[in-house]
Amino acid sequence: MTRGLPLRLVSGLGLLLLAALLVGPVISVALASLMRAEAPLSMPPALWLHSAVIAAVAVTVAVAVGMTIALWAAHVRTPSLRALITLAGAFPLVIPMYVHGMAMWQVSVRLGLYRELADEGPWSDLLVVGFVQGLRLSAFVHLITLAGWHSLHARWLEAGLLVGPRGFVRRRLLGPLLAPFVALAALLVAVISVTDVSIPLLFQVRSVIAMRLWWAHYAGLDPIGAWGAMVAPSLLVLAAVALITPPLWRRAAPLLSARRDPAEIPRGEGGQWLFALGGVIAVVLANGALIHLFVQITSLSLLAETFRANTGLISATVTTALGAAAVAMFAGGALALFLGDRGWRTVPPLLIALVFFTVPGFLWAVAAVSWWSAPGLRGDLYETGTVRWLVLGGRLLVIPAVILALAHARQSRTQREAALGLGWWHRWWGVVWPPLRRAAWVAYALVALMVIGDLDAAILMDLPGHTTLVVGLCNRLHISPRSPEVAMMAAVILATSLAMLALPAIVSGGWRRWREIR
Amino acid sequence: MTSRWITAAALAATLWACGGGQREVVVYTAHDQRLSEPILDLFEEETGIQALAVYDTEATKTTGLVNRLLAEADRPQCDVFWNNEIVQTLRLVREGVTQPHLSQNAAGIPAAFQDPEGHWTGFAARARVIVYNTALQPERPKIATYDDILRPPWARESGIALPLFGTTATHFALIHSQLGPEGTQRWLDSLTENGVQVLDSNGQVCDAVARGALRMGWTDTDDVAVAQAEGYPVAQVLPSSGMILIPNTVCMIDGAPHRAEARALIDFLLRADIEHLMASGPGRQIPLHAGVSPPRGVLRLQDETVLEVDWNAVADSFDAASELAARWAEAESLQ
Repeated sequence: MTRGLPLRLVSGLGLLLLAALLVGPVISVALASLMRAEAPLSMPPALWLHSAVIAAVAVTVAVAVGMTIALWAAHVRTPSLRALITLAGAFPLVIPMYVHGMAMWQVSVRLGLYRELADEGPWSDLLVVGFVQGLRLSAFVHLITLAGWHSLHARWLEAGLLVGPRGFVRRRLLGPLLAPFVALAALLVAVISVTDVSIPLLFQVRSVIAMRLWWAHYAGLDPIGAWGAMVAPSLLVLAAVALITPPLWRRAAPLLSARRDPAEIPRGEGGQWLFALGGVIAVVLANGALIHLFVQITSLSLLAETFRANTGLISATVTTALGAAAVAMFAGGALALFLGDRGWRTVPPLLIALVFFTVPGFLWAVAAVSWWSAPGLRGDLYETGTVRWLVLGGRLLVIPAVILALAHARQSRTQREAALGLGWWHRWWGVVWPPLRRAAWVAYALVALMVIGDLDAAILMDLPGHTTLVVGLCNRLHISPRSPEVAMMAAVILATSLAMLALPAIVSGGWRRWREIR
Repeated sequence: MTSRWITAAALAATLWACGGGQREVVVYTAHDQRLSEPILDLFEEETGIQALAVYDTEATKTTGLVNRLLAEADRPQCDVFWNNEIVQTLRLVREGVTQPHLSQNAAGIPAAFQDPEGHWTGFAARARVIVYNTALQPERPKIATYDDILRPPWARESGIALPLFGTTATHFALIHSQLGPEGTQRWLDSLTENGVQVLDSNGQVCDAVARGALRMGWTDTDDVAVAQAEGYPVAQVLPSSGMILIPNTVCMIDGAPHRAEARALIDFLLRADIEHLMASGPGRQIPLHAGVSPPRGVLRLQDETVLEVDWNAVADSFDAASELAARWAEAESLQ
């Protein structure tokens, strides 16, 4: 079962996506009519093409940057350094897409780069947008690849090194084994890139699907119908990415039969500090525009005051992110574990979750508010404020579902069978969970950071009196984008995000300590 | 041990449940958070009523909150909607989302800026202005109408925001209400022919003028105020034929859970001294009350010619104008 699952999983996903693409128009009309919308808006082929170009550039940049950083992190033996590089690689995701784009735009304008590039014509604009998105989304590839690396079997790498040079091992062993994870990250990057409006809006690229939808939303035309029309082109990009990966699996098929054990993964022997330093510098340079925001912080006391003045916003952000992450992890994790050994049957539920993920946040939130805000029990629940966790977490549950499904599929079946005599809890806690911990952390980190950085859905889901940090930051950006206040708000978001990333470690440390005391 | 935890949790839950005694009002506001938050703080200080706000952002251009209000219509959470423009408020009125409240404090506000039935009231306005770069254009340009800068010889160095968002969308809907669909299409085509730069927001237009990328452009008074405060060489000029004034609007939501508090907040916002406060702030809002004299640098209603606008006709045109603008922008971007 373990041997062929990733191959079948990804191939099946690709085929189903292709099928969905072929029947896309039918689905679109059906969805639109189900949601009582009018006929979908027109989506000229050029919009599809431009979105595909942006997605392709974003995926290329994200995969190149993300994989490089992930492999750097994986080669470092010192745990603290590894953690440092892992966090540095996740850094772009900590800053919301809109703010990331704003910072990149300002820097490129100041340096005169943007105008020069923009003067090259519309295609250069597409490349710029894809590049900016790809830099931020590289964190997806970095974290998910790292999760994949930690599921590799050490003995096969050692055996590979015995029979061939490092290049052979990378090409024939590491590449294929990591490919499902990279492909998954690329899928997510492609979806986010196609549905994002922040960067096209800032860089004035209007001929893309997301902007058409955005306009329809604001012009009060037919955004739901437009989303229906958007499903097909989004799936086109997804299908293209998904379908190029099966040949890689086939080449590595014999290796995929490897049994796993918890042996330590071999690390690079020398130059760890150089690797670490290089990784951090690469991330910092690649995100120089974001650093630009922080250099304006001149007074630590003012920074501390910003923290004090925004405790309400921090609290609202943390509770929203924690609640949504809990929902996504619980539902996504349950889905992944339930589907664990079901081969191709894992594909349809994951595909449905993926399609939900293609719905832009603001449409998802509008639909959710309309449904929940009703007289009776639904409305009562809506008023408690817990619905925002369900809505935000529900949209993102595909992330933990797919990451954990992949990681679970790579576990040794022998181990699980050997534990059959144990009770349900002991089997789960002692056998299934330990190898999934890193993947779970990655899934949690991605979901939490996406919720923290969310703007569109936040406007529709924020509780009265509980504005989130991103809304506060964007409002300050509008008034005075170059002020130290903006930089300090960004620093507050960064610190909050890092605290959220460290939370699992704090909780697990506390749990161990508590058990020791008992 | 376990029983202690349960007791503590029960106690916390009881305290939480008992903590809801304070009077509160829920306000959704599209006015900039940095400008509206101090006003709401002052309201809390004066009345003891807690104002629970939901803020919009520039990135979502007011429509986020309007869509939320429409989505929540069956079970309203919001008491007061404080909008920074007027057309989306009229949209809510037409959808039956508002309820009337005639405030005594609106007595000094011109009739053109309030609904006779009390569904909405305008206050503290922005004006549509032409911003120009004083380094590139040392002399104050003589402008008869807003359209002057969209024609030669200015056109190629002028910019406007995409007429889909914010006050430019309102301005464009006004054009649509005056010219009709065909005339508006010709107006849009003339932008292309004359080489006018179309950016994504008023802020970007003002920024481009401030940096010298454009000589002049359409924007609002508050954007010019921000650019001037940051030291950029910009100034504003009004067309001699009259300016378009876009007021903040406030309305009470039908089925508001806290009606008395909602009325208190609306009455507070419509006070003359609050208008003066908003005029003194970084947004330099123009007071509509007859007796309020604004600080230096803020336009005085009495000194300027204001274009008479039939806002209902503008609201009638809004959807058609937006669709026309969306299709035009799409066609332009695909060229």
